[in-house]
Amino acid sequence: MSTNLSSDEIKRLALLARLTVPEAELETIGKDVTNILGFVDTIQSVQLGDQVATADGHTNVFREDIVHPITPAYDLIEAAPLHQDHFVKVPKVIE
Amino acid sequence: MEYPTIEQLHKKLTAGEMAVTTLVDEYVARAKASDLNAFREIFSDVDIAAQVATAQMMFKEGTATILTGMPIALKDNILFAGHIVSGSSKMLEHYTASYDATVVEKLKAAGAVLIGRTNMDEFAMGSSTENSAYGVTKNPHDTSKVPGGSSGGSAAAVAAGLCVAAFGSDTGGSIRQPAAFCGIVGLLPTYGSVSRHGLMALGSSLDVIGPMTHSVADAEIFYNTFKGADKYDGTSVAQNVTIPLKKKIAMPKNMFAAGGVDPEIKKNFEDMVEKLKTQGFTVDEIDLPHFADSLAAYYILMPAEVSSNLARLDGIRYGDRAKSISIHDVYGDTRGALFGIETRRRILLGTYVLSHGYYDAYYNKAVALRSIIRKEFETALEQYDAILTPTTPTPAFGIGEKVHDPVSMYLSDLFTVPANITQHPAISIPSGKSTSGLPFGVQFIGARFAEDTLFSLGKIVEDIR
Repeated sequence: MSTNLSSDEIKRLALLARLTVPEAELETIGKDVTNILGFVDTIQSVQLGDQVATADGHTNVFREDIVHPITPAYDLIEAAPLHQDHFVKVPKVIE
Repeated sequence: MEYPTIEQLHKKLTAGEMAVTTLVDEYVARAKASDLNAFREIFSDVDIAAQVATAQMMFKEGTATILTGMPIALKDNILFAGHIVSGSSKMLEHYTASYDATVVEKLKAAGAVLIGRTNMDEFAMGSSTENSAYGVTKNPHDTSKVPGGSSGGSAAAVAAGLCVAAFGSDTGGSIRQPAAFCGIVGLLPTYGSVSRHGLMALGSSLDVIGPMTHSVADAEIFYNTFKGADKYDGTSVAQNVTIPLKKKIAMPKNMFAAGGVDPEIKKNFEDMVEKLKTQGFTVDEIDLPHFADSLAAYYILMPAEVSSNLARLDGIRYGDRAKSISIHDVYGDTRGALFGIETRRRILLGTYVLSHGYYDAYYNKAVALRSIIRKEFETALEQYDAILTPTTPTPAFGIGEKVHDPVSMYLSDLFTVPANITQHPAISIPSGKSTSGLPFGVQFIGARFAEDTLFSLGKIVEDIR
């Protein structure tokens, strides 16, 4: 099911991924992604039998819900590129 | 290029033949003088001096551990509070860690001296360090060659004696492949055996932190210092399996059938098999029908996890932000401008395989295939001590040789990826050199949590290579 990804399809993926791709790069990146998809497409011919997609071999890990002191929240807020008075500054979300 | 091991240095420090400060100064001076671009940053003299003082105090008080005073390097994706950690990306060029990774906390407690952070492919995506936003690291054995990746800076730093040992992280071979290219030992521990609290996530079902060292004994000492369950990492578990050596080794049938394996590597590998036989080992070719399919599964699962994990780098919470106005433009422009090309490729690829209409054909199929490969490995490792392969299909390749061809770059992960897919431990040990002087490595993949078996096998290889 190897497909040649067009510039429009790369644009659509880029929008989904919130990743601006410059016009000049659309073709080369489309070609690269197409080549990689061609490579991983060998998976289509693998016989899976009755094996389904499952997270086998793993069990959930539970712990007591206890409050532990951790890094002060202010330190984390200061890692944000724009912050003021212990708040993260974000662009306007609702027009 | 022969540098002392942890045990040798520890003896000197304990006997008072060498002061911690002398030892650390020697390594830091070499690191500063090196032009390999192995380090992104060597920590400040004041910073290092404070750690040296702590180590000296531990010797004085009799609380020194075997790692006390050892100059160790961190990969640039492991958090060290108060220090910049960039993932070798423009995105986090100015990001300062606000807490210590659990492995860093453990090293500090052991009195190790963290001297700097090493160069890597951006967010650990790559096999050569050419995807670092800060230039390629050079291979100490031949500076026209790559050191491998993504932990290429750590590998070069250990190989060139710029630190005694270094941390790497391994998602598809990022410890073992550069270890093989630089002629050092690299261990991918069992998935879950080491806390990843404070490691920048790449592929969360694959990532493991591990040691990169001069010798197998060093890898064992270093690993035992930072392994273990951690309440801050729900995927970590405390388990240690001791399995008596059966002296039975398996190798995948038709491993070389697809071609692309360097003839000298093949010869070196076959010689190693013969040498193991003279040590009383049985080496059987066994059927692992889906061994080679691991690579395709990996290049579906890993980008899928990357596209999800790197969503947090949106220009809002960490790092830098584009000056755009609308929120969508801030996201898109920040990510578009500050991620390198390979990172952008993998995000788009991951978005594709997870998108509606392709999810079943790619992602779900890869997850199912993963279970099949895992079962094949588990069955084999019930009968055998380990699965043996060369670590890489070729020795270190030239800088610039593969950078424009992602698929050919991915093929260098052929032998390393299966252990990540099945979450088994694997070790790469230097096994010789090419006629042009480039190191080779062999890899043992062991049963889950049977790192001790890998150390035993590794020490045997060190004796007979």
